[in-house]
Amino acid sequence: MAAPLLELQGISKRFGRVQAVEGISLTLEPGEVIVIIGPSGSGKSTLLRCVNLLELPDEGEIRVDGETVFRRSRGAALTHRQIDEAQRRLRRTTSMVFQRFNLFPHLTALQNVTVGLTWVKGLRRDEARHRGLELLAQVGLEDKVEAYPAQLSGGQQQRVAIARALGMNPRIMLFDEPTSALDPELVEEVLHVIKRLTKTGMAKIIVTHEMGFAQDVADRVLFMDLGRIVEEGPPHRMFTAPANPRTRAFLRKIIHRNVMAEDHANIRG
Amino acid sequence: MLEVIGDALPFLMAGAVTTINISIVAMGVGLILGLVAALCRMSRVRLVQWGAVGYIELIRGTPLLAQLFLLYYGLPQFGIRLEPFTAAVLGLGINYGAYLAEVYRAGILSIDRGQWEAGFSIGMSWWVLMYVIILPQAIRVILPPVGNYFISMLKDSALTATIAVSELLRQAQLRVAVTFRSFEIYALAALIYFIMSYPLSLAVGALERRTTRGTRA
Repeated sequence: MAAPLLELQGISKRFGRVQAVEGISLTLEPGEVIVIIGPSGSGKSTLLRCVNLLELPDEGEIRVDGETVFRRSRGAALTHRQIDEAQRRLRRTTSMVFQRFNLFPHLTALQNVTVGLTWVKGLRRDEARHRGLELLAQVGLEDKVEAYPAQLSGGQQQRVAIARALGMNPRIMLFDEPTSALDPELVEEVLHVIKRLTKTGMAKIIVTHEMGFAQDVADRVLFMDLGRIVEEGPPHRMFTAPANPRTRAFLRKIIHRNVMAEDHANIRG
Repeated sequence: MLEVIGDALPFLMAGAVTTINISIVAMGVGLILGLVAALCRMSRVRLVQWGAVGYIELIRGTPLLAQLFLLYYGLPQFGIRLEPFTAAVLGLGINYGAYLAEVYRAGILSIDRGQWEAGFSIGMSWWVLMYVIILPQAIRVILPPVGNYFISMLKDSALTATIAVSELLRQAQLRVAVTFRSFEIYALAALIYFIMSYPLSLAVGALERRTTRGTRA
């Protein structure tokens, strides 16, 4: 049997006295979409950031295609070279979309996409430009290529960020609450772009508070709380019949909030 | 009095040209050293870090005049004889490099962490990220203080009169030695310094306003 695309084993990360992520293991198959939900501060984002080593786990192992690319026993010292090599391999495998977009403000939309193509992938300028235009068209921004981030709406900025991430041809896309910083009316356009991507069969790990979206795109839903995976399962079961009382309490709270927001919108609209 | 000034003016103007030359070349040296020191200070390698901190603290903790004397009068003891102009440019450049290192560092640290994370997440190396993403943004923050340092460089270069560089103040000294009209000639020299620095000061002010306006938006 082929090895999973990505395997995390016993990943832990502590910030000072806070144990953000505690001994998490999970596997991601090629093309699989995993959605991670949970209250804020539950360690979802930290876990995601451990996958591309933006956070260095205190402990645990990460394998890609069955091959160990990162291994650390609790608090053990790693050499710069070990860290660099692990980062290089994991960042070549993954791309991340951030909550706050993190576009490069001094570059146009097109340059934001092409800067990685030329400086990381080594494409020629004209090749990069061609590919960049394609990518921006994919996220529906062919008319904004020369705009600077400050001239774009939050939704448009996030779509540029998605194009930038896609350009690196990752095998895994990591989404860190991609719509949490957006005005409500801009959420849909971004979710729409991500949904379309899910049809391309690229593996994804998505941290989100958009439960409807989660149910739509997920192959598997993970509920995290206090740094651990409390419960996981197929989306239908997770949302209609969660087994764990903590999952139930969380879903009740968040669905209640969403319904309230919709009612409110209906009244106003 | 007008005659004294008229006689001295050509000498002082020649000195002013030297002052400008020294300041520009020394600023170039300082900008390069400062960038290197700032980058070294952020290195992961302890030894490199300590080297940069040592340079910055040592230079900032000692008088510029002493540094110039060491270069010009001290080094010949070891068989290294520098031309006055070379010693001046090196001395001022090394001195300003230490201050400019901190200007670069502040500029680099002012850039949001998210910029680093975005760059790293698409596989950029630290160096590429610094060059393509961080420095081009930091330059807005760095430029106004660099302008201010250039203005003080124009005036600090007067210290090189003590190591026989024929810059503006030295030329004034020489004229005074001939004419004994200290007041008129030193006042004229001071006026020329002012005429050179004041427009620059206005320009830096405009630059500062533009920078802060940009960041507030």
